[in-house]
Amino acid sequence: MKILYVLLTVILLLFSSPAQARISSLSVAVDGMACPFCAFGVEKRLKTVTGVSSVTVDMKTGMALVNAKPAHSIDYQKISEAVKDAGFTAGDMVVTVDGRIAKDTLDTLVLHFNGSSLVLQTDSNELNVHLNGAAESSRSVVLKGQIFLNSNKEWILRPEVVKEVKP
Amino acid sequence: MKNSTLLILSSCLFIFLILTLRELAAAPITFNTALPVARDEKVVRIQTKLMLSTDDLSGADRDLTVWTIPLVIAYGVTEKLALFGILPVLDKEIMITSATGRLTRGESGIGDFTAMARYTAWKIDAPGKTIRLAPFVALKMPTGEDRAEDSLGILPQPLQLGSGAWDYSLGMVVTRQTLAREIDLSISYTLRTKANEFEFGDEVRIDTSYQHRVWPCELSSGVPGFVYAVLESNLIWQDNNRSRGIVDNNSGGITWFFAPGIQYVTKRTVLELVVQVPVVQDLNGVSLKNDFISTVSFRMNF
Repeated sequence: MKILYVLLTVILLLFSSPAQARISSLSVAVDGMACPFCAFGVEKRLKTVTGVSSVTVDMKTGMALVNAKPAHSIDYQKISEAVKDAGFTAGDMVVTVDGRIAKDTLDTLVLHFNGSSLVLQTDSNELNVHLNGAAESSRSVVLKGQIFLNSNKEWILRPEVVKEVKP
Repeated sequence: MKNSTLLILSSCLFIFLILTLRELAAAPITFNTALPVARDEKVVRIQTKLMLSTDDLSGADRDLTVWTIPLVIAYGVTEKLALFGILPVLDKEIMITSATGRLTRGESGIGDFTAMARYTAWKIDAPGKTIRLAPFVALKMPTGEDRAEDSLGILPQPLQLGSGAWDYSLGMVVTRQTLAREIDLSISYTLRTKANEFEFGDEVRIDTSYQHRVWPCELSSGVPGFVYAVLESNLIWQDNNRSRGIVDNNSGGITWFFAPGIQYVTKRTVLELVVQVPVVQDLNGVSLKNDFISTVSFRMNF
């Protein structure tokens, strides 16, 4: 019985471990894509990015929606390159990311997930309060927002929505 | 392998591709486009062309029928550099009235292979639209039979499957594409060289294409198939041929084709049909005039 209890605890720990901290979905604007035949190349290249399970292109909006494999995180840093390899230009990228927020030495909010991190930036005071609260409580959060590379070559997440705060 | 077997095999491949059609897509039908072939992407295009020329001023009542099945394979080396290989299977037949009656001469088999490289040198991408400029170079190699004979002797050079010569082309294509329409302009020059004491005249081409999406009128989500109405124009100037250094005054001239057509384009495939009708044929001497060229084409990417 004790062994069973230990096993169950280990399994629960595994499921609540940072393995779930990841980018589960991502949408990217594909500038220049204007015909169905071109969409195939975009799908093909995006599917080669680490962690990607499926890609759905929408011609009307010019967006590609990328979903991650179960328990995998999308390698967001390779998305722009994949779009470029298809012959197009990557525009805005929006991610849904599950991770833990912490403050760095400069008191900047940083989201950690799957061995990677994004600097958080927001102009909304309300959202800032939420994010600081999540950082202090060390709770896991699911954020959705735009990511981009700033002039210092740092990846920035500008959250629009806190989708979930986990215990 | 016999030439007729090759023709049958190519036709079977074409029918197979049509039958396995899953989805169809845009670009000019009668010439190249500046649109990208993604890195590591392969595109196969197979066409069936029928060219009929029966307007003969020479009095020999010549009727020329040429069936061509060009197989085109494109490969994206990078997002900017695409390589193309074009291998045509040909069936040429001419009927001539002579003193002894009506004669038929011709040959069928593999023609000259052309290798082409295209580099997208400049582009501007925006949501739902793009404009691109791509220079290209092409090399036609003498892989087709160029000394074929029949019971009357060696076939005239224009009836041979290959020219026996190496030809060099240089050109540039500009493409402007939106979700609703596409415009392409291609300009090229082909330098022809001599083989078997014969030299075809050099050629300049100005090709334009306009494709207008006619269906769906309103875009739905995902990647719907597009139907485009197509209007193309091919303005071709060809210099005189030269045989043993002597200019053939019954060759070369200017031809201007108008080509209405239709395309059905999806994510994986393109099915297209076009008929090139000559609106101007200012040909030298008693050159055989063209009636039309019809093309059915299928493209698939891998």
